[in-house]
Amino acid sequence: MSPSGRVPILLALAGAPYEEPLLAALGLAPGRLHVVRRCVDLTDLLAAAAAGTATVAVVGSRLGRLDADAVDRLGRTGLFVVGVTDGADLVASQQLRAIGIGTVLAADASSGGTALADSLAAALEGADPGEVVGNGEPEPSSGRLGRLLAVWGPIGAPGRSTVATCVADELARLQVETVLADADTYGPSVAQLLGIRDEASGLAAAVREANAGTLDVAALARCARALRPGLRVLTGVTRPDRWPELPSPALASVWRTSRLLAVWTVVDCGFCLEQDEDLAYDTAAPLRNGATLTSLAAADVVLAVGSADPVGFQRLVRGLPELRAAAGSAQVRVVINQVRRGPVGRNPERRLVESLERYAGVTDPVFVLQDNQAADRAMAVGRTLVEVAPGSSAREVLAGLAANLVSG
Amino acid sequence: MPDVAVVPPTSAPANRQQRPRWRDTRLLLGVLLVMTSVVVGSRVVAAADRTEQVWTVAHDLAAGSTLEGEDLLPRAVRLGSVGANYLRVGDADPVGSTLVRGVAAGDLLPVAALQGPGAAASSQQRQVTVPVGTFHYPNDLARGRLVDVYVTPGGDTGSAVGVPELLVPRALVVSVEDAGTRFGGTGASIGVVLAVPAADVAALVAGLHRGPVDLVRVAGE
Repeated sequence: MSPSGRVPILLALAGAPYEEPLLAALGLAPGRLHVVRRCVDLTDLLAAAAAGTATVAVVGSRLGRLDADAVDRLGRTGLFVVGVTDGADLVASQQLRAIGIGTVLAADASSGGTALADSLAAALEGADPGEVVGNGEPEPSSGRLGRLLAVWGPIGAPGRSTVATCVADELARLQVETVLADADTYGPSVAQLLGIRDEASGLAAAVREANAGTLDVAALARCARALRPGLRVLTGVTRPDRWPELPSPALASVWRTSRLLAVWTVVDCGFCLEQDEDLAYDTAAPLRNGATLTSLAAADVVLAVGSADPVGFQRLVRGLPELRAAAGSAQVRVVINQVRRGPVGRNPERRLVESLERYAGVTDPVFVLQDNQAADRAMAVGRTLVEVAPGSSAREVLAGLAANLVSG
Repeated sequence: MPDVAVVPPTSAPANRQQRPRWRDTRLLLGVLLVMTSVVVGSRVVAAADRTEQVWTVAHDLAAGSTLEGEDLLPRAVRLGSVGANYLRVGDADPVGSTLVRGVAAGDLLPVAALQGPGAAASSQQRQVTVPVGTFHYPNDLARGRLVDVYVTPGGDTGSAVGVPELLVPRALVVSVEDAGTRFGGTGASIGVVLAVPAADVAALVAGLHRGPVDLVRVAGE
């Protein structure tokens, strides 16, 4: 709030017919609102927002390149964003809401600028303009929503993607509508593991739609590919260097939509939990770990996958506190993969249980015995474990885990 | 906000890698192509094949020899218009026929060199067994060869060795009876069955008693 007690606002209406009347109305009746700057385009708006001269941004539906990412950046600079549509345009209003603008006003050309100025003032009356919480899509309040399972594991190859694909497959086999998504921004591998030959990334497509505000359940289903009825896959970025295609705000929107499409959304995450924005000056830059952090923050249940060897085990134990911080209130279940005698010694499960309890306070780990033969066969033909080796002990454990998730 | 979609919208099926199967259209097409080309190729080559099976002679045979099965070898050759001059495999069986002229090893068997079975042997020729001492016959002595028969009067007594005398020129070797197989392995002499003109038989038989016999190979037959 400015020292004068008036609310400084930024206008970015892209020359809409109601812009001049609104300005005139605001100028004639200098109430609480004070126009700091009329921005010509989105870049101008973002620059003015970064300068910190205002607390409210009023954006028109005609403003070019306005997407979820831009709204997120405006929100992070502390601005309260209000959207304005030409007349009672329901589609434009929905799109503005979809990209994260909570307050959308309709500018009626016939009633002049005064009416719009009044409704703007009224909208800001209810909200504290300095607060950012007003931004963002309103969380659906009613109805049964799908749940989100994030599969994380420390650096290395503990078998994150293998566990994620197998658990998703098992969930779908329990007659539960499932979406498997690959949000690994370092080594996306779900498409390879499943032998999917489509080159396009389903998740990146869904994120683009979310960014543009056009993502709904049907659009998400179009982006996904069905392995069979009940199991859809959103493949990851085709090359690790395309990680900027998974920005956090749009990804969060994808997860919200996925909860409407499927009962379980299984997300294969990257390993890195560092919040590298703390190190960067440019806070608006996309974050490579944002995809993982967003998915963990959205998750209801997190599987922490570690490998059963001293190096992998130590990484898991060191990473668990960080993971719990990122996952918030989500339930964290530890899965120890590739359990075998070799690197652990005699009676590996007892030793691992003892160590987990002692060093990480984990009491109910899930052990997946190493089954190289089945894993190799699955890898060779691009199928999940259950598809090639339904009798494998590793598969039975993961099936039990899936059943456990479904039953709650 | 809607509930979890009750009738979920459909997604396009994923294009997944297929396990290679034997019932793959491309594989079947490929096999069919290979088989067709093999059949067509062999048929084309067979249609272009103008060779015919003709008898050749396995080893040198002199005139008068009676052909036996082991003397003949079939060969595929392309003779064209002169094919009628040679005996084809499918024609009358030449075994038992007698040669009216010598044929060298590897030569095609001319129709003109053959006489009907037993013709020569029965009418003009007589077979006489001649004992020949070791080292008195050519080492490649075999059926079908022509030899001159010489006798050296008194040659076996060591006194008054006479002038060697030609008993029969160009006698045909019908067979060679090795002493080792026939006469209990003395090894001193062998029996050679010669075909000689009936008129020469008396002179040959008489000559055998006058001294040791030498068989001399007639070259170039």
